[in-house]
Amino acid sequence: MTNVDPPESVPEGQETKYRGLYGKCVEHKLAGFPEQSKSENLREEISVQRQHRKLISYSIFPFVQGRPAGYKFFTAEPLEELGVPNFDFLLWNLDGNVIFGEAKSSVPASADTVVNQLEERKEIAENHKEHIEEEYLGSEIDHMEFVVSTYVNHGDKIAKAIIEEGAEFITWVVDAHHDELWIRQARPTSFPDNLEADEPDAMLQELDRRHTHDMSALNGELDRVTTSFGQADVLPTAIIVDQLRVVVQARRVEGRHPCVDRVDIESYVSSSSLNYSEERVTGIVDDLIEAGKRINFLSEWDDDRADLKVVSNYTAKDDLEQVLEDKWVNWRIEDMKDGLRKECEERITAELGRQKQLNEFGVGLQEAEVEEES
Amino acid sequence: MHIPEGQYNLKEFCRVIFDSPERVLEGYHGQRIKAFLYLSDDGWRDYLDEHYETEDLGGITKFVGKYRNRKGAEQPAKFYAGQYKDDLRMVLTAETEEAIRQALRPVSEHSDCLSPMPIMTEDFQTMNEIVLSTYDDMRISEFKSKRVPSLADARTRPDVDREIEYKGADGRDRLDEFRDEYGVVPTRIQYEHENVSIRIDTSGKFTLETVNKESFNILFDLLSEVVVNVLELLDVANQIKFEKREVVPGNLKVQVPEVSSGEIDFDQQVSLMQAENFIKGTKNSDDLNFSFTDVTKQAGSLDFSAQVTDENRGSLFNVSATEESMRIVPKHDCSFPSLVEFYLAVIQLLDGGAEMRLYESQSAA
Repeated sequence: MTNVDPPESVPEGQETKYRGLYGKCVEHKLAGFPEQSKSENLREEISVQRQHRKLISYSIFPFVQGRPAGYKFFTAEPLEELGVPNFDFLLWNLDGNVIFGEAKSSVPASADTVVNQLEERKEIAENHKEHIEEEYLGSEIDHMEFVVSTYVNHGDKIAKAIIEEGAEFITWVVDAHHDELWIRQARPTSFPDNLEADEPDAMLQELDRRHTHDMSALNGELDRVTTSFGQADVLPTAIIVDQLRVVVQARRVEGRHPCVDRVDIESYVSSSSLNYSEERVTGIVDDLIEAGKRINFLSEWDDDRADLKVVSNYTAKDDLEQVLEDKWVNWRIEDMKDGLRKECEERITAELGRQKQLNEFGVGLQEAEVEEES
Repeated sequence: MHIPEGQYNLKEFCRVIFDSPERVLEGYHGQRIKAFLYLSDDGWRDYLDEHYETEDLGGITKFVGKYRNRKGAEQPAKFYAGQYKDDLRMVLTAETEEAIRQALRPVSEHSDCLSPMPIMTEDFQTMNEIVLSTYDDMRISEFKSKRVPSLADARTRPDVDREIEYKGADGRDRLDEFRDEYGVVPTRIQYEHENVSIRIDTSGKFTLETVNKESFNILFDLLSEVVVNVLELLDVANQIKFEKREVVPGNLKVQVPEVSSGEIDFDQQVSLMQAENFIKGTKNSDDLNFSFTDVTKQAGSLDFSAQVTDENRGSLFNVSATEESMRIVPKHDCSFPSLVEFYLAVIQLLDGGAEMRLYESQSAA
């Protein structure tokens, strides 16, 4: 929103000048603002997020459907409530073994940055072992393993980086084309230099050891298992537009109005999650509603039929999903434009302020003080 | 239908109809009986009570709904439900298509305990063979058929997905000719005979245009042929579910997921374009109300996943498909009618030879 009224800090008599300079500045900035590519980037962000969420879903499906080596899917984003960097999922075999899993839907060329990030998360998870035992499982952890799960085309790259960094992560790969999960196929195609062993056989063995789970039953039961997109629809730390899809799922239609009750959103969120406390679910729902209102996707509805109205002329879910994306992208774009306007306001205010100060005192002023005033 | 008061079971009820069709159908425009088969679960009777005026005639439940006729006047529509087998109801009516559309169809559309019984394409072929072998001189006057590669080879362009509707006195010969030439098999057939005129289709609807003992005999003969597979399908659909189970391994109560997912095995490799057409088809259909969101689709070998809502029942499940099969992961309020109807959509719009079963995790190697 362009506010042409000069802020109060603009000295008297300078308002017209301010308006002129500010208008020029904004015009210039907006003309140079690459709206098209920015909005493409934002849509790409949504797509990346979706890939990530689906990868998590594919990775945990065997543990939702079955119980390989006794492991079950326990929760998405363990430790998220502490605000510390966390893994994407936690598996548990009820006998005291846990697997922390991180999903990477893409791996950058310098895969070692990913490995470093994983190492950091691993350390945090290890430091919070007691918290997991006390608050999550109610029993002791005997053995922890760490997994990085990725799509099949990135498997080799990340596996190689893990070995080269001397890290201990087991690589899983998901082949979404064939709905398969492999846990032993992801091996580096060449031997990393630091894999010390005299005999090729020993090297192979060492590779094998590092790339398989300690519990051999898990290796046997899981390798090249069929998997599916299924669970993990709401991830608390996903970008809000991806989380807001749950509102689309929960919507109903009254007359011609798509609308939703808070309790419906709550029920969808809680059926998509496991072992989240009531407070956490409430928190997620609060955030969702607030964000929905902020981007003008949701509004309070002064009507007995529902708590909230979905702001759209469409009622079909696929249309609503599109409306949601568009509104979020627009909102982000407008936010960036507001940023540019703010920049202009600050710059012009500072400029005018400086002129006045200079006139009056004949000395320069520190910019920080001017900024504080603006 | 005008049924004299009485305590009937399904067979006796049918006998009343064909013993005196003139009286039973008096005043009815079409003079034909339609039988619909429904898969059912425990709550079906209460569900009817909630939505209709009901009356028990022994083993038969009469239920009366309302509809608006062409002139806009409200009229009662009468239906009779009997038990063909456990979990399988037969609904008989003489009402018009319009009355059925308004008064009967909404029942199963929104119910969690009733769903139309689909007939697998392969079973349908068996049904056809039974009719044709029982009656050498049975004519086929009309049929609809579609390409199902696992059931028939085609001489001409076997890769083309095709559907043929035919009307003509030589339907019986045509059916075979089309089958040999184009690899299509029937999904709807109209039979004509001296004493019998009956129409059957894969959605579980039977139309008896001649109301006599012979027609009813054919109906029951055919049903006995498909019932095993249909009840098996119900069993599969009933087992597809998602639950959170509480366990107490330590000093906390925690939840573990218990999911039994389903799998629809395709009979032929499915392409991305077919999957897209399937979504479009369900959208354009009057009978189906599925919506697809969170769709990921990539060609190559098919990588397709989506969240599916049955808008009528509010149930939610996720699907993810390869060229060979589609996995169905139940999410929210997923009851058997949604799954059976989804399967029916798949065999009607995507792959006539597809089979639904319970998914068992197994190594793909």
